[in-house]
Amino acid sequence: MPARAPAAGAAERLTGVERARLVAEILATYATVRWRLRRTDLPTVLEALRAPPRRGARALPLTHDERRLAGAAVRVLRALPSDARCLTRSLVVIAMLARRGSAATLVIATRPEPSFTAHAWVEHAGRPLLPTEGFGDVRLVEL
Amino acid sequence: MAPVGRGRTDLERVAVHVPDHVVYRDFAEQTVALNLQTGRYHGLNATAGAMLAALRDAPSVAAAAKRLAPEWDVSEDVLLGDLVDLCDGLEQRGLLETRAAE
Repeated sequence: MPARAPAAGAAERLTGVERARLVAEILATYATVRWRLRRTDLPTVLEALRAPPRRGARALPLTHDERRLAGAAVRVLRALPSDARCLTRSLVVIAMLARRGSAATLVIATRPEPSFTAHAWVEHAGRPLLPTEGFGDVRLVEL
Repeated sequence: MAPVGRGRTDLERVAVHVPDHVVYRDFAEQTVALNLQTGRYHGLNATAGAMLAALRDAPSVAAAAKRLAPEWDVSEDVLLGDLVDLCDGLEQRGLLETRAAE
């Protein structure tokens, strides 16, 4: 059977090895984010996660576009039994994008009524990469 | 506001400043503050939110009291005391800093 050419615009599929590497990277980044959040404040954590790769290290290629990468992180983190709140998820995505040389913004929003709720997500080039959950009009800060 | 007394003259020389690690947003019923260093959210009722807004805009704490007193029909001295209490509370939570007025 002849191999079918991918349809125009279809996303390139990862091989099994690439997928495993990506999952490992997401999990390692998650562990780093949790570790840093327990030790220091949010601005410092963000600064560290966005720091350029160490000398000699190459930036990872962006094999997915930003949205697909964020989606992959969410799918992996959703399967974790431990706490993976919106802020942790967002920081994982920001760190992974930073490793690929892609800048992203952390947005935190709150809704005080009827009961206080807060949400965080990531935006790239002004577009949300993670669900805003209806908080788009009550932004508190962009970092 | 430990470094200054509560006298009117002192409070004419004290201004408030919102630190870089604090963000505020006004909503209809309250003002929400987020201290990015602690990760804690704080809610201020509408009156405290209006007092904070006046403090931020005014060149000094005393000037904020002078501006709000006629608007709210309360004595300037009573309002000054309330503003100082608010500043104390916010300062203790790392949400506000006081400095010498320019």
